[in-house]
Amino acid sequence: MAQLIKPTEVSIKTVNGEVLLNIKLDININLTQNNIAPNVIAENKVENKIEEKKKEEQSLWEIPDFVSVPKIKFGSKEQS
Amino acid sequence: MSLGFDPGTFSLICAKRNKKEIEFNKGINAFIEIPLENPFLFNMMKNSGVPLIEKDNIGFVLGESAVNMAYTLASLELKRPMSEGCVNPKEKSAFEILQIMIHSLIGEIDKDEEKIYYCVPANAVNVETDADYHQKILHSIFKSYRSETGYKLNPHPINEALAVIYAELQKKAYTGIGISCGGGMVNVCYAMYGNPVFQFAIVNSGDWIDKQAAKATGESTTVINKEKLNVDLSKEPKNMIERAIGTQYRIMIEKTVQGIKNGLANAKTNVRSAGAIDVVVAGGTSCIAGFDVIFKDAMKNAGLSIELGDITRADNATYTIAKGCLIAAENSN
Repeated sequence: MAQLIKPTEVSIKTVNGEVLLNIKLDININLTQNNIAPNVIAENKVENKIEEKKKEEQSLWEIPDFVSVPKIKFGSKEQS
Repeated sequence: MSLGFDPGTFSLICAKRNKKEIEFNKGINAFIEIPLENPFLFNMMKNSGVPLIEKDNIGFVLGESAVNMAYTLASLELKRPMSEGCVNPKEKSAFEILQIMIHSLIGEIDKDEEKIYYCVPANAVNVETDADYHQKILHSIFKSYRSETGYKLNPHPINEALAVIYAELQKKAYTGIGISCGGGMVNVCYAMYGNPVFQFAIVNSGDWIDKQAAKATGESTTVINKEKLNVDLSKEPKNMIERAIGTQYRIMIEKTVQGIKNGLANAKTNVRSAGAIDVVVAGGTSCIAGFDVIFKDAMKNAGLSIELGDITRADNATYTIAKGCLIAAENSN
Protein backbone atom coordinates (compact mmCIF):
# COMPACT_ATOMS: atom_id res chain seq x y z
CA MET A 1 0.00 0.00 0.00
CA ALA A 2 1.38 3.29 -1.04
CA GLN A 3 1.66 5.65 1.85
CA LEU A 4 3.35 8.70 0.63
CA ILE A 5 4.03 10.22 -2.69
CA LYS A 6 5.56 13.58 -2.24
CA PRO A 7 7.31 15.57 -4.86
CA THR A 8 10.32 16.77 -3.04
CA GLU A 9 11.89 18.72 -5.80
CA VAL A 10 10.59 20.24 -9.06
CA SER A 11 12.67 22.62 -11.06
CA ILE A 12 12.37 24.07 -14.54
CA LYS A 13 15.25 25.85 -16.08
CA THR A 14 15.19 27.66 -19.41
CA VAL A 15 18.58 28.46 -20.82
CA ASN A 16 19.39 29.35 -24.42
CA GLY A 17 16.24 27.85 -25.85
CA GLU A 18 16.58 24.57 -23.90
CA VAL A 19 14.02 23.48 -21.30
CA LEU A 20 15.36 21.30 -18.52
CA LEU A 21 12.66 19.74 -16.30
CA ASN A 22 13.71 17.86 -13.16
CA ILE A 23 11.15 15.97 -11.06
CA LYS A 24 12.46 14.06 -8.08
CA LEU A 25 10.04 11.81 -6.14
CA ASP A 26 10.55 9.91 -2.89
CA ILE A 27 8.07 7.04 -2.67
CA ASN A 28 7.81 5.03 0.52
CA ILE A 29 5.92 1.80 0.12
CA ASN A 30 5.13 -0.48 3.03
CA LEU A 31 4.41 -3.98 1.98
CA THR A 32 2.96 -5.39 5.20
CA GLN A 33 2.99 -8.92 3.96
CA ASN A 34 6.33 -10.51 4.74
CA ASN A 35 7.27 -7.35 6.58
CA ILE A 36 9.12 -5.97 3.63
CA ALA A 37 9.35 -2.21 3.63
CA PRO A 38 11.45 -1.07 0.74
CA ASN A 39 12.14 2.57 0.16
CA VAL A 40 11.86 3.49 -3.45
CA ILE A 41 13.40 6.61 -4.73
CA ALA A 42 12.27 7.56 -8.17
CA GLU A 43 14.00 10.17 -10.12
CA ASN A 44 12.73 11.41 -13.38
CA LYS A 45 14.78 13.63 -15.55
CA VAL A 46 13.31 15.04 -18.73
CA GLU A 47 15.51 16.98 -20.97
CA ASN A 48 13.76 18.54 -23.85
CA LYS A 49 15.75 20.53 -26.29
CA ILE A 50 13.72 22.92 -28.29
CA GLU A 51 15.58 23.73 -31.44
CA GLU A 52 15.87 27.39 -31.93
CA LYS A 53 14.53 28.45 -35.32
CA LYS A 54 17.03 30.03 -37.58
CA LYS A 55 16.64 33.81 -37.49
CA GLU A 56 16.24 33.92 -41.25
CA GLU A 57 13.40 31.37 -41.12
CA GLN A 58 11.61 33.36 -38.42
CA SER A 59 11.77 36.57 -40.39
CA LEU A 60 9.94 35.28 -43.47
CA TRP A 61 6.28 36.23 -43.61
CA GLU A 62 6.53 38.36 -40.51
CA ILE A 63 4.54 41.56 -41.03
CA PRO A 64 5.53 44.21 -38.49
CA ASP A 65 2.82 46.18 -36.68
CA PHE A 66 3.17 49.50 -38.39
CA VAL A 67 1.87 52.49 -36.45
CA SER A 68 1.47 56.02 -37.76
CA VAL A 69 4.80 57.83 -37.99
CA PRO A 70 5.60 61.56 -38.08
CA LYS A 71 6.18 62.89 -41.59
CA ILE A 72 9.33 64.73 -42.58
CA LYS A 73 10.24 67.04 -45.46
CA PHE A 74 11.20 64.50 -48.11
CA GLY A 75 11.20 64.32 -51.91
CA SER A 76 10.91 66.83 -54.71
CA LYS A 77 7.81 67.93 -56.59
CA GLU A 78 7.23 67.91 -60.34
CA GLN A 79 4.14 68.64 -62.44
CA SER A 80 3.13 67.00 -65.71
CA MET B 1 -8.61 63.64 -54.46
CA SER B 2 -7.46 60.12 -55.29
CA LEU B 3 -3.81 59.10 -55.15
CA GLY B 4 -1.42 56.90 -57.12
CA PHE B 5 1.80 55.54 -55.68
CA ASP B 6 4.75 53.80 -57.31
CA PRO B 7 6.88 52.21 -54.57
CA GLY B 8 9.82 51.28 -56.77
CA THR B 9 13.12 49.61 -55.90
CA PHE B 10 14.96 52.85 -56.68
CA SER B 11 12.33 55.62 -56.67
CA LEU B 12 9.22 56.25 -54.59
CA ILE B 13 6.69 58.42 -56.44
CA CYS B 14 3.33 59.75 -55.28
CA ALA B 15 0.90 61.16 -57.86
CA LYS B 16 -1.96 63.56 -57.03
CA ARG B 17 -4.31 65.56 -59.25
CA ASN B 18 -3.91 69.29 -58.83
CA LYS B 19 -6.80 70.74 -60.89
CA LYS B 20 -6.09 69.27 -64.37
CA GLU B 21 -2.38 68.76 -63.86
CA ILE B 22 -0.81 65.77 -62.13
CA GLU B 23 1.61 66.62 -59.35
CA PHE B 24 4.35 64.11 -58.57
CA ASN B 25 6.34 63.92 -55.35
CA LYS B 26 9.46 61.80 -55.82
CA GLY B 27 12.13 60.51 -53.44
CA ILE B 28 14.96 58.02 -53.81
CA ASN B 29 14.31 54.75 -51.95
CA ALA B 30 17.67 54.57 -50.17
CA PHE B 31 19.35 55.66 -46.96
CA ILE B 32 22.65 55.66 -45.12
CA GLU B 33 23.38 55.30 -41.43
CA ILE B 34 25.54 57.84 -39.62
CA PRO B 35 26.70 57.59 -36.00
CA LEU B 36 25.39 60.32 -33.71
CA GLU B 37 28.67 60.92 -31.89
CA ASN B 38 28.80 64.40 -33.35
CA PRO B 39 25.44 66.13 -32.73
CA PHE B 40 26.81 69.36 -34.24
CA LEU B 41 27.27 67.66 -37.62
CA PHE B 42 23.81 66.08 -37.39
CA ASN B 43 22.17 69.43 -36.58
CA MET B 44 24.05 71.22 -39.34
CA MET B 45 22.85 68.65 -41.85
CA LYS B 46 19.29 68.93 -40.56
CA ASN B 47 19.37 72.72 -40.80
CA SER B 48 20.66 72.56 -44.36
CA GLY B 49 17.52 70.65 -45.40
CA VAL B 50 18.92 67.11 -45.53
CA PRO B 51 16.08 64.64 -44.75
CA LEU B 52 17.18 63.01 -41.50
CA ILE B 53 15.67 60.83 -38.82
CA GLU B 54 17.06 59.63 -35.53
CA LYS B 55 16.37 56.17 -34.14
CA ASP B 56 18.09 54.17 -31.40
CA ASN B 57 20.98 56.64 -31.34
CA ILE B 58 21.65 56.25 -35.06
CA GLY B 59 21.08 58.96 -37.64
CA PHE B 60 19.59 58.05 -41.02
CA VAL B 61 20.09 60.23 -44.07
CA LEU B 62 17.31 59.57 -46.58
CA GLY B 63 16.81 59.78 -50.32
CA GLU B 64 18.95 61.68 -52.79
CA SER B 65 21.13 63.20 -50.06
CA ALA B 66 22.06 59.64 -49.03
CA VAL B 67 22.96 58.77 -52.64
CA ASN B 68 25.07 61.94 -52.95
CA MET B 69 26.91 61.22 -49.70
CA ALA B 70 27.57 57.59 -50.65
CA TYR B 71 28.81 58.75 -54.08
CA THR B 72 31.26 61.20 -52.50
CA LEU B 73 32.34 59.14 -49.49
CA ALA B 74 33.01 55.59 -50.65
CA SER B 75 33.20 54.35 -47.03
CA LEU B 76 29.46 54.95 -46.56
CA GLU B 77 27.24 52.05 -47.52
CA LEU B 78 24.06 52.97 -49.36
CA LYS B 79 21.22 50.81 -48.01
CA ARG B 80 18.09 49.91 -49.93
CA PRO B 81 14.83 48.75 -48.29
CA MET B 82 13.94 46.88 -51.49
CA SER B 83 15.79 44.59 -53.83
CA GLU B 84 14.76 42.83 -57.05
CA GLY B 85 11.43 44.67 -57.08
CA CYS B 86 10.29 43.54 -53.63
CA VAL B 87 10.84 44.51 -50.00
CA ASN B 88 13.81 42.68 -48.58
CA PRO B 89 12.78 40.49 -45.59
CA LYS B 90 16.40 40.56 -44.41
CA GLU B 91 16.29 44.37 -44.09
CA LYS B 92 13.48 44.54 -41.51
CA SER B 93 14.97 47.58 -39.81
CA ALA B 94 14.57 49.37 -43.13
CA PHE B 95 10.78 48.86 -43.19
CA GLU B 96 10.17 51.71 -40.74
CA ILE B 97 12.38 54.00 -42.81
CA LEU B 98 10.48 52.97 -45.94
CA GLN B 99 7.25 53.74 -44.08
CA ILE B 100 8.46 57.24 -43.11
CA MET B 101 9.52 57.95 -46.70
CA ILE B 102 6.18 56.76 -48.14
CA HIS B 103 4.03 58.66 -45.60
CA SER B 104 6.11 61.82 -46.06
CA LEU B 105 5.72 61.70 -49.86
CA ILE B 106 1.93 61.30 -49.52
CA GLY B 107 1.77 64.35 -47.23
CA GLU B 108 -1.72 65.46 -46.23
CA ILE B 109 -5.03 64.15 -47.61
CA ASP B 110 -8.43 65.88 -47.81
CA LYS B 111 -10.84 63.19 -46.68
CA ASP B 112 -11.03 59.99 -44.68
CA GLU B 113 -10.65 56.64 -46.48
CA GLU B 114 -9.03 58.37 -49.47
CA LYS B 115 -8.41 55.84 -52.26
CA ILE B 116 -4.79 55.14 -53.11
CA TYR B 117 -3.73 52.68 -55.83
CA TYR B 118 -0.18 51.42 -55.44
CA CYS B 119 1.67 49.23 -57.90
CA VAL B 120 3.08 45.78 -57.18
CA PRO B 121 5.14 43.46 -59.37
CA ALA B 122 4.18 40.00 -60.57
CA ASN B 123 6.33 37.12 -59.34
CA ALA B 124 9.43 36.76 -61.48
CA VAL B 125 9.80 33.87 -63.90
CA ASN B 126 13.60 33.63 -63.63
CA VAL B 127 14.31 34.19 -59.90
CA GLU B 128 12.39 33.24 -56.77
CA THR B 129 10.63 36.40 -55.58
CA ASP B 130 7.88 36.97 -53.06
CA ALA B 131 5.45 39.45 -54.52
CA ASP B 132 2.72 38.42 -52.02
CA TYR B 133 4.86 39.28 -48.99
CA HIS B 134 5.90 42.52 -50.68
CA GLN B 135 2.25 43.45 -51.24
CA LYS B 136 1.29 42.65 -47.63
CA ILE B 137 4.08 44.86 -46.24
CA LEU B 138 3.12 47.75 -48.52
CA HIS B 139 -0.55 47.33 -47.69
CA SER B 140 0.25 47.53 -43.94
CA ILE B 141 2.38 50.63 -44.52
CA PHE B 142 -0.45 52.40 -46.39
CA LYS B 143 -3.02 51.22 -43.82
CA SER B 144 -0.95 52.72 -40.98
CA TYR B 145 -1.01 56.18 -42.58
CA ARG B 146 -2.75 58.96 -40.63
CA SER B 147 -3.07 62.58 -41.73
CA GLU B 148 -2.75 65.39 -39.17
CA THR B 149 -6.54 65.37 -38.87
CA GLY B 150 -6.59 61.59 -38.40
CA TYR B 151 -7.75 60.66 -41.92
CA LYS B 152 -6.86 57.20 -43.19
CA LEU B 153 -6.10 55.75 -46.62
CA ASN B 154 -8.00 53.04 -48.48
CA PRO B 155 -5.21 51.21 -50.35
CA HIS B 156 -5.56 48.95 -53.41
CA PRO B 157 -2.78 47.11 -55.28
CA ILE B 158 -2.42 47.12 -59.06
CA ASN B 159 0.11 45.39 -61.31
CA GLU B 160 2.78 47.88 -62.33
CA ALA B 161 2.82 46.95 -66.04
CA LEU B 162 -0.97 47.33 -66.11
CA ALA B 163 -0.45 50.82 -64.66
CA VAL B 164 1.73 51.60 -67.72
CA ILE B 165 -1.21 50.62 -69.96
CA TYR B 166 -3.64 52.83 -67.98
CA ALA B 167 -1.24 55.76 -68.25
CA GLU B 168 -0.30 55.47 -71.93
CA LEU B 169 -2.85 53.48 -73.92
CA GLN B 170 -6.05 55.42 -73.25
CA LYS B 171 -6.41 56.23 -76.98
CA LYS B 172 -5.97 52.54 -77.80
CA ALA B 173 -8.84 51.52 -75.49
CA TYR B 174 -6.36 50.36 -72.84
CA THR B 175 -5.39 47.45 -75.09
CA GLY B 176 -1.79 46.42 -75.65
CA ILE B 177 1.38 45.35 -73.88
CA GLY B 178 2.77 47.50 -71.06
CA ILE B 179 6.37 47.04 -69.98
CA SER B 180 7.79 48.59 -66.85
CA CYS B 181 11.60 48.62 -66.56
CA GLY B 182 12.25 49.49 -62.93
CA GLY B 183 15.28 49.34 -60.70
CA GLY B 184 14.79 45.69 -59.73
CA MET B 185 12.49 44.07 -62.27
CA VAL B 186 10.99 44.23 -65.71
CA ASN B 187 7.22 43.72 -65.52
CA VAL B 188 5.13 42.81 -68.55
CA CYS B 189 1.34 42.87 -68.89
CA TYR B 190 -0.95 42.30 -71.84
CA ALA B 191 -4.36 43.88 -71.33
CA MET B 192 -7.49 44.07 -73.42
CA TYR B 193 -9.88 46.95 -72.71
CA GLY B 194 -8.06 47.51 -69.44
CA ASN B 195 -8.40 43.93 -68.24
CA PRO B 196 -5.15 42.00 -67.74
CA VAL B 197 -4.90 38.90 -69.94
CA PHE B 198 -1.52 37.79 -68.62
CA GLN B 199 1.34 39.29 -66.66
CA PHE B 200 4.80 38.23 -65.57
CA ALA B 201 8.08 39.71 -64.39
CA ILE B 202 11.79 39.18 -64.98
CA VAL B 203 14.50 40.08 -62.46
CA ASN B 204 17.05 41.72 -64.71
CA SER B 205 16.87 45.47 -64.75
CA GLY B 206 18.53 48.66 -63.47
CA ASP B 207 20.25 47.22 -60.39
CA TRP B 208 21.49 44.26 -62.42
CA ILE B 209 23.11 46.67 -64.91
CA ASP B 210 24.75 48.56 -62.01
CA LYS B 211 26.11 45.34 -60.49
CA GLN B 212 27.48 43.95 -63.72
CA ALA B 213 29.03 47.25 -64.84
CA ALA B 214 30.52 47.74 -61.35
CA LYS B 215 32.12 44.28 -61.56
CA ALA B 216 33.59 45.07 -64.96
CA THR B 217 35.04 48.45 -63.97
CA GLY B 218 35.90 47.99 -60.28
CA GLU B 219 33.68 50.96 -59.38
CA SER B 220 30.88 50.91 -56.78
CA THR B 221 27.27 50.41 -57.86
CA THR B 222 26.52 53.92 -56.52
CA VAL B 223 29.05 55.43 -58.94
CA ILE B 224 27.69 53.38 -61.86
CA ASN B 225 24.13 54.38 -60.98
CA LYS B 226 25.06 58.08 -61.11
CA GLU B 227 27.11 57.78 -64.30
CA LYS B 228 24.30 55.87 -65.98
CA LEU B 229 22.29 59.10 -66.23
CA ASN B 230 24.90 60.58 -68.62
CA VAL B 231 25.08 57.66 -71.05
CA ASP B 232 23.58 57.84 -74.54
CA LEU B 233 23.23 54.33 -75.98
CA SER B 234 23.09 55.68 -79.54
CA LYS B 235 26.54 57.31 -79.25
CA GLU B 236 30.08 55.95 -78.93
CA PRO B 237 31.09 55.58 -75.26
CA LYS B 238 33.56 58.21 -73.99
CA ASN B 239 35.21 56.10 -71.30
CA MET B 240 35.38 52.63 -69.79
CA ILE B 241 32.43 53.20 -67.43
CA GLU B 242 30.16 54.32 -70.28
CA ARG B 243 31.28 51.34 -72.36
CA ALA B 244 30.50 48.90 -69.52
CA ILE B 245 27.08 50.49 -68.90
CA GLY B 246 26.25 50.43 -72.64
CA THR B 247 27.24 46.77 -72.93
CA GLN B 248 25.20 45.74 -69.89
CA TYR B 249 22.18 47.71 -71.15
CA ARG B 250 22.30 45.82 -74.45
CA ILE B 251 22.57 42.47 -72.64
CA MET B 252 19.70 43.45 -70.35
CA ILE B 253 17.47 44.46 -73.30
CA GLU B 254 18.33 41.22 -75.10
CA LYS B 255 17.47 39.14 -72.01
CA THR B 256 14.28 41.11 -71.44
CA VAL B 257 13.07 40.60 -75.00
CA GLN B 258 13.93 36.90 -74.75
CA GLY B 259 11.97 36.78 -71.47
CA ILE B 260 9.00 38.44 -73.17
CA LYS B 261 9.25 35.91 -76.02
CA ASN B 262 9.25 33.02 -73.53
CA GLY B 263 6.42 34.61 -71.54
CA LEU B 264 4.30 34.99 -74.66
CA ALA B 265 5.06 31.43 -75.71
CA ASN B 266 4.00 30.10 -72.29
CA ALA B 267 0.78 32.12 -72.37
CA LYS B 268 0.09 31.63 -76.08
CA THR B 269 -3.45 30.34 -75.62
CA ASN B 270 -4.32 33.63 -73.94
CA VAL B 271 -2.69 35.89 -76.49
CA ARG B 272 -5.06 36.32 -79.37
CA SER B 273 -5.67 39.61 -81.06
CA ALA B 274 -7.56 40.66 -84.16
CA GLY B 275 -4.85 43.16 -85.06
CA ALA B 276 -1.34 44.24 -84.23
CA ILE B 277 -0.63 44.78 -80.54
CA ASP B 278 0.88 48.10 -79.43
CA VAL B 279 3.73 48.03 -76.94
CA VAL B 280 4.62 50.82 -74.54
CA VAL B 281 7.67 50.79 -72.30
CA ALA B 282 8.22 52.97 -69.20
CA GLY B 283 10.06 53.04 -65.87
CA GLY B 284 13.28 54.68 -64.72
CA THR B 285 15.61 52.18 -66.39
CA SER B 286 14.08 52.94 -69.82
CA CYS B 287 14.80 56.70 -69.50
CA ILE B 288 18.39 56.53 -70.74
CA ALA B 289 18.95 58.14 -74.16
CA GLY B 290 18.87 55.65 -77.02
CA PHE B 291 17.05 52.95 -75.01
CA ASP B 292 13.88 53.20 -77.11
CA VAL B 293 15.72 52.66 -80.42
CA ILE B 294 17.61 49.56 -79.23
CA PHE B 295 14.53 48.15 -77.51
CA LYS B 296 12.36 48.64 -80.60
CA ASP B 297 14.94 46.90 -82.83
CA ALA B 298 15.30 44.02 -80.38
CA MET B 299 11.51 43.54 -80.18
CA LYS B 300 11.09 43.63 -83.97
CA ASN B 301 13.92 41.16 -84.55
CA ALA B 302 12.90 38.73 -81.79
CA GLY B 303 10.41 36.77 -83.90
CA LEU B 304 7.61 37.08 -81.33
CA SER B 305 4.49 34.97 -81.67
CA ILE B 306 2.28 38.08 -81.97
CA GLU B 307 2.03 40.85 -84.54
CA LEU B 308 3.47 44.04 -83.11
CA GLY B 309 1.98 47.48 -83.65
CA ASP B 310 3.61 50.70 -82.43
CA ILE B 311 6.49 50.28 -80.00
CA THR B 312 6.92 53.46 -77.99
CA ARG B 313 8.51 54.75 -74.82
CA ALA B 314 6.32 56.86 -72.53
CA ASP B 315 7.12 60.60 -72.64
CA ASN B 316 7.81 60.97 -68.95
CA ALA B 317 8.84 57.37 -68.37
CA THR B 318 9.94 57.75 -64.73
CA TYR B 319 6.49 59.00 -63.65
CA THR B 320 4.31 56.84 -65.94
CA ILE B 321 3.60 54.08 -63.41
CA ALA B 322 2.53 56.49 -60.63
CA LYS B 323 0.32 58.26 -63.20
CA GLY B 324 -1.26 54.90 -64.19
CA CYS B 325 -1.96 54.14 -60.51
CA LEU B 326 -3.63 57.55 -60.13
CA ILE B 327 -5.79 56.94 -63.23
CA ALA B 328 -6.84 53.55 -61.78
CA ALA B 329 -7.77 55.22 -58.46
CA GLU B 330 -9.77 57.97 -60.22
CA ASN B 331 -11.66 55.40 -62.32
CA SER B 332 -12.56 53.23 -59.34
CA ASN B 333 -15.04 55.77 -57.91
